[in-house]
Amino acid sequence: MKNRLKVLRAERNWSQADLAEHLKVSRQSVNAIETGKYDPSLPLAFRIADLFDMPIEDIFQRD
Amino acid sequence: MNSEKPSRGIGRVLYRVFKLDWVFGALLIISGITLVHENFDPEPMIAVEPMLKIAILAGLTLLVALIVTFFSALDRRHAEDYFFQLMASSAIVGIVTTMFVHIIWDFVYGPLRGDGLMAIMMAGWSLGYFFYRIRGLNS
Repeated sequence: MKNRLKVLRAERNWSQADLAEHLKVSRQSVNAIETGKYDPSLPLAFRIADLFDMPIEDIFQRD
Repeated sequence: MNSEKPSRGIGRVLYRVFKLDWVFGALLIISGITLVHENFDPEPMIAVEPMLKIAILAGLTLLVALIVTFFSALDRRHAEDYFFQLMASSAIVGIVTTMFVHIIWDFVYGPLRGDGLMAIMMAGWSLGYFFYRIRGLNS
């Protein structure tokens, strides 16, 4: 699965640690999602969508 | 949309100190020590009457499995999904590795002792963890 997390984070000038803080997860989780090493669970995907105020499908796309 | 920078809490600082990477690194070292100790200085085995051994092991397995299931459910609710998936996926690596190593060893040299099996399982779990950590859960 592809995602736009890195772009959305960069647009807000956030570090991975900042985003992790907002999402209440570790920086490693954010890094793993951004690098495609891990697809987040549905609850976390919803939290990400809520944080960026966007629909999930605008952040995560199928390969 | 919230765009201000968040503050860093003490929880995050503590998290950086107690990383799961260190835990599995330690587990890998312990497994090596156990394997060496098991083979160079084995503990004497206490003979137990077969029926008693079967009864104790069956009961103990049932009890421990129930306790582990309960705490695993707790862990799933409270741990980060990424780390829970890492631990669960690498646990499968550990279990399957132990099974096959034991089968191969048993076929060639006879059965392995318990501590040796534990060491192999811990090593397999740790190696699986680092494999998924580096390559990713989607690899």
